[in-house]
Amino acid sequence: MGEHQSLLAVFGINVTHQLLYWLSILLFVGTYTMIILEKYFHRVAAALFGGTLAIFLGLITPKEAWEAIDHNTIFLLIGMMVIVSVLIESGFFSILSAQALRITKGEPLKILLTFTFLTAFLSAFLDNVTTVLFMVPILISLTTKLKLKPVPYIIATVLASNIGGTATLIGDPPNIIIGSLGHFTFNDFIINLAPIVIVTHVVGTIVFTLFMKIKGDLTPKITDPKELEKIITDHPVEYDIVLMRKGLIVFGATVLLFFLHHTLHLEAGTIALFMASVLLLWSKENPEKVFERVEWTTLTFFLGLFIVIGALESTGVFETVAHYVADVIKDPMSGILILGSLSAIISGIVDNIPFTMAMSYVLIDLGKEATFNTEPLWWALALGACLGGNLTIIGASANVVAAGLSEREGYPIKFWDFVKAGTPVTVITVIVALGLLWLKYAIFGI
Amino acid sequence: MTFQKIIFIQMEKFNEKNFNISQCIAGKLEAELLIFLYKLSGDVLTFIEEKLKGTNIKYRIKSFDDLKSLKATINKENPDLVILTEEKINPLKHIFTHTNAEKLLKTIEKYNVIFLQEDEDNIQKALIYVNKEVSEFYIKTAYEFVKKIIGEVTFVYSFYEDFYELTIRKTHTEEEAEEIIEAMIEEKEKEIVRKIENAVQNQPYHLITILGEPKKEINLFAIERGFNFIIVNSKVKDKTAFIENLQVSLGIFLDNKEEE
Repeated sequence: MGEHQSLLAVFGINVTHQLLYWLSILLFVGTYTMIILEKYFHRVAAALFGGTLAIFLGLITPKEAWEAIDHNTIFLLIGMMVIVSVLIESGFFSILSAQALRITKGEPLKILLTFTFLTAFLSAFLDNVTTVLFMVPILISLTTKLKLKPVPYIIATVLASNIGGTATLIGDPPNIIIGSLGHFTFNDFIINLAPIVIVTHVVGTIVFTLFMKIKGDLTPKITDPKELEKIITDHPVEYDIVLMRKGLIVFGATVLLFFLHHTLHLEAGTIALFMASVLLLWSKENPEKVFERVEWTTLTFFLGLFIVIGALESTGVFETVAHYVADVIKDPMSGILILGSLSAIISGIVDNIPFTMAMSYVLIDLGKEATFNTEPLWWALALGACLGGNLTIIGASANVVAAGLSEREGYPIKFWDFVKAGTPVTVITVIVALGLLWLKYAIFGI
Repeated sequence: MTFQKIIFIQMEKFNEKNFNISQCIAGKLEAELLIFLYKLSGDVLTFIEEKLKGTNIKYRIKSFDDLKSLKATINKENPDLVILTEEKINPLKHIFTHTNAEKLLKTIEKYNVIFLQEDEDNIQKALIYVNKEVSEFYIKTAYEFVKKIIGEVTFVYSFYEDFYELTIRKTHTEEEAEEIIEAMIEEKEKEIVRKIENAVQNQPYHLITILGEPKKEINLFAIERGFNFIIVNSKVKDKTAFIENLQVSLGIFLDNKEEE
């Protein structure tokens, strides 16, 4: 750590590994507290402060900090944000919004069910962030036209996205990591997780619908049928078919390449960024204008968080936690419940990508030493990490991106508002999902 | 330029409303009306014959079953104006398909063309798009056409200097940027007015300036303000987008004499 150790040493502090270990925990807790106290600190400033302070204090070197940043995630976000930005410019989302308005006839419950189902389905085959980038602009346009509060609908969509993404290998970043490190195929995920996710989605939707019903968010705000009819039919939409065609061709090709990314030995982030550059060249859109819609603040938030988490990894905190868990798990059946619940809780608090990575390495080690089949533990990890992301606004990348988009449009999602809605859904869906997984192995054996 | 020969093309489906507009245009311009029917039954031909009988309009009707011979005949006739029906299709469907009128575009782009919306039965209010690149010839042609068909002439100019706008907004305060951009708009407007004045001499007209990308904004502006016909010049940037984004009727008029 060279020069960075000396920074603490300047103040006459004896820098031991133990000190760095505890400092990284303190920094992590401090950063997350600042993020939670959104009334006083902006979450982006808090994350960036935490990340850079980690480097300042020598908890992590600049090189380690750079390596701690998941480039695949950042590239994927930039690439997909550029493609979506061009599609927004083409008016594609305005048209979809108008169509959705016609199909749902402006009924809040129908809007909720249509969007959550569509989002869950798309999330199974697309990255959650991409799905959210697609859905949030449509939802905001739709709900504001109907004078409904967009935030509850956005939260419901994000929750559905995290649930739907759990079903497949490509649906959620933790699954990509688990598939890669645990050597599971696309079909393994479909067989083991998809049926559980379908049931979980239904349960999650019921919980959230009830939650919104109680809060009065499903009550129509426009009751005059004539006014409603006017909103549904009478609004000219600005669009550019030629640009839309180009945008959708590139988007389609990007999704196709996502399916083939293992065969092509290309990361999803590389594909997304490359295809975004193809679209910029082909569409001749002004990059300055396109990049205006890229969520730079969200990306900065990720950079800061990755470094704070990187400091925990660098000082060995994750390793300690993971080995402690491994000691506790004595058999796969109890392991499903312990590992699944723990993954859900931790993933709700920290971003699920670094956690899944750390736990995956522990499971690889456990597989070598354990006398039992560890496969159920991998599925418990996938369910816990993906579904747990619904607990807080910072639990999954999609949540953060949705919050950024919503805030930009003038509808900030408060940390506690998300927690209030996310907690019941997370608790119930995790119980149902882990229960079903446990039942599956109890009935059919391991 | 004068409009002496007009071809009205109907492909696979006959649109009576659009036929009435063509008849009206031919009447007002005192032009010969050629009606080209592609893959349409004899009943349509009889119907048109009945409608035109007894009017002052000089006309000819031709039927085609082959697209190639239709295109060849259009070129042989060398019309001053071609009128077609633009089918109304769902924009999401439009992403993947082209309308019949769009399929003919390559053949007819050397003529003045009008794409009529299929539910249009009258041209009531028109906008003529102008920018600093258009020729006086185009302005004059479009002006004379609209004056004869509608009476009142309105030009529209769309200020779209996104590069400068973005740069200015980055380097100046909001207020300063607004002032600079307003001055830029004023300067551009003066240029446009000079051009129009030269073309139409002292004849009356209105000029409206809007903001944003012409291929999208003019269309939306027209819908919101009740204009149901837009004329753009043949050299307009993103011509295909103008046609495909169409939500009102569109005329594409030649930009200079050489193109005639």
